[in-house]
Amino acid sequence: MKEFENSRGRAGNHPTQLSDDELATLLPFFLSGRITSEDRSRVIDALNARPDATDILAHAESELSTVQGIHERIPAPEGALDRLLAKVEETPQEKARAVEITDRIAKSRGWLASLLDFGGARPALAWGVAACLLVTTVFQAGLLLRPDAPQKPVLASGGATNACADAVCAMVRFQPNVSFSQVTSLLEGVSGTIVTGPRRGSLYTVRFSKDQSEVGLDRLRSSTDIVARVIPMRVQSQ
Amino acid sequence: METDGDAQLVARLAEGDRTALSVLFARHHTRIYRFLVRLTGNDAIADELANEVFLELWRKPAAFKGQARVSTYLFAIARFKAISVRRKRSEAALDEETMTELVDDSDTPEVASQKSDKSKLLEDAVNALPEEFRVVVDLAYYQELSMSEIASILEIEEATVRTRMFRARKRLAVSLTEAGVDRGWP
Repeated sequence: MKEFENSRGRAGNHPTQLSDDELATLLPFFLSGRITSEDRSRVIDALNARPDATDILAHAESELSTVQGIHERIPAPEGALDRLLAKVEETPQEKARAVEITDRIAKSRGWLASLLDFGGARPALAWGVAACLLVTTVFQAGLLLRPDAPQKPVLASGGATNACADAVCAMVRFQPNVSFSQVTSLLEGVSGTIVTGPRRGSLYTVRFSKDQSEVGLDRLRSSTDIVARVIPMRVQSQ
Repeated sequence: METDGDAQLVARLAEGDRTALSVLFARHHTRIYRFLVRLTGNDAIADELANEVFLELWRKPAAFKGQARVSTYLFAIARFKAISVRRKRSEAALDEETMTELVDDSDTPEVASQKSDKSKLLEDAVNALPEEFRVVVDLAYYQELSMSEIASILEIEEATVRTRMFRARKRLAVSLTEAGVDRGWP
């Protein structure tokens, strides 16, 4: 009521006059203040033009107070926050799950390294197979970690773009005679992760965290005994 | 309902900040709970679902994209959970207890005729609205949401919100008139 009275004389010129039905529809939102400025002005104009404006507002206000009364008589449950916090303790967040999965990947990398380090015999094949497994593992983990991950699997071809959307990546070709443990050790030292590959030319996509990218790229370039080529990538953020 | 910093609090949930969750709970829980009581008609279920709403926010904070207010997002989750529960309940056969509740909810003509108090009549009329109308009335009058927010929560067009509000208010006026209270229109 006060809203309307205070608004008298301030209404703008709005050519579209509200019908009775439109006025009835907008009044609840007018009373709560959750109405567009245009509709608000139209309601004020309509009320100013009506001799029964006070009654009309009184009807809506009685509905407002009735509905509020219905709700406010519902007592809030006791101890709800305590129960929630107890459940929180036993409910891992997606982020927490991510850390667990990353830990598992780290452990499996160690297991793969011991399994596939052939002590020089066919080293390129050995670490190449491991890298493929690692890429698959990392990519699958990436799917699991994405909060908006689709239920259907996505093609790995989009992996580099997705994985590099918020990081720095480089295409890397390793020397043909290096072992998996050498590659793993180098990448761990620069916080790098293989996210896709091998592609044509035996190139792998390696991802760095943004704060480590410069150091990481320099380190890879200087590790000529392990790395044959480093090509920094520019991936457009999605 | 205006709650500055809600989005920042949700962002802090992603860092495992339980205090942020407590603040969000303190700000929104009662309204969410009451919304659920109205939707489910059952205090215990509403209590459980309200906690599940906040637990979901805790579990998947990144699912909140910041495209709406946090409160609107919570109401949408709450509605979804209420619908899921009711679907399960409707699949179950009505047991004796439910039948008793249904009978108890109905006033005899004698009792109804004694309800001469206008505010009581209006309250009964509000509660007797079809749910699709009542929820719009509840969200506008008590939860103080805008048309666009209600449309977003109920997953309907804004024009449908307008139509439902109009029909709800029309029914209230008719109900009061039939009970001997001529309140006119609009």
